[in-house]
Amino acid sequence: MGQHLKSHHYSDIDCELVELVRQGDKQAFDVIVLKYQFKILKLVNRYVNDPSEALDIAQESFIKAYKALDKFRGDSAFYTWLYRIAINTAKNHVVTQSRRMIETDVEVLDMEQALTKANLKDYSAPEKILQSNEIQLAVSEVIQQLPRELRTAITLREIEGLSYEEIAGVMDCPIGTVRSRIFRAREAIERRIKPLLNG
Amino acid sequence: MISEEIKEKLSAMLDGELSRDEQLALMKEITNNDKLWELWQSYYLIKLVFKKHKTLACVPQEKIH
Repeated sequence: MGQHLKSHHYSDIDCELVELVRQGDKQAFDVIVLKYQFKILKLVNRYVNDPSEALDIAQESFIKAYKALDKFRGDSAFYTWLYRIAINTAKNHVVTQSRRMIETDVEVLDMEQALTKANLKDYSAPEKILQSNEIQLAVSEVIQQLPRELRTAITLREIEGLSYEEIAGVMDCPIGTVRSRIFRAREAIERRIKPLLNG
Repeated sequence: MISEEIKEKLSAMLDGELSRDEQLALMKEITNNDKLWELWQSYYLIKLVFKKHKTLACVPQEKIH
């Protein structure tokens, strides 16, 4: 990876994730989905009114992106490429369904520009945040200070990748308790890092 | 003000542990609620921190019971 890819105009994090997926790391694509799913959903919602349809289109867009990942050359930002796929998927869906596009139809370029601005505004430079030692240290500290049950639950989930059901089995407690413990752990971490994000 | 119940659901959705109906309802809510959207981003960031630095935390040494 290194110099060649870093010279492109897409974020380092996206670059790393795309490269990992190309190397066969399917979990890396899960992270891409997590990162963009709601932005894509918001975008798709401009074309369809039904949330379940929007979800299907968003999922189809990610599948298309996954299959076409080798064609992504980094000439544009990754999210621009992804948004273009989602827009085309949504438009095709609308045409196929013979539905009228909703009123907020915008030219693709205008939309991409608007989304780029929104992206910068509503979630500024996640890669920069991720590279912040302060954030990492804060997360690490909070984890160490958590009550053992919460620390175990969040660790088994995020580090070991276990499902709630599996964690319930390991910790010998109901799934609802696992869900609550993981949530409380995240809440504690979020409380701690919030001032750092806003600062 | 976001209820604890909604926040817990948000956390579960991040892990893919919500039913499809619950997920759809929550997604709809997120797209219309800026506070919820911000919280989702924070949770997502925390997940990314774990993903990027899997050695950040280790499984507790105490025997899990």
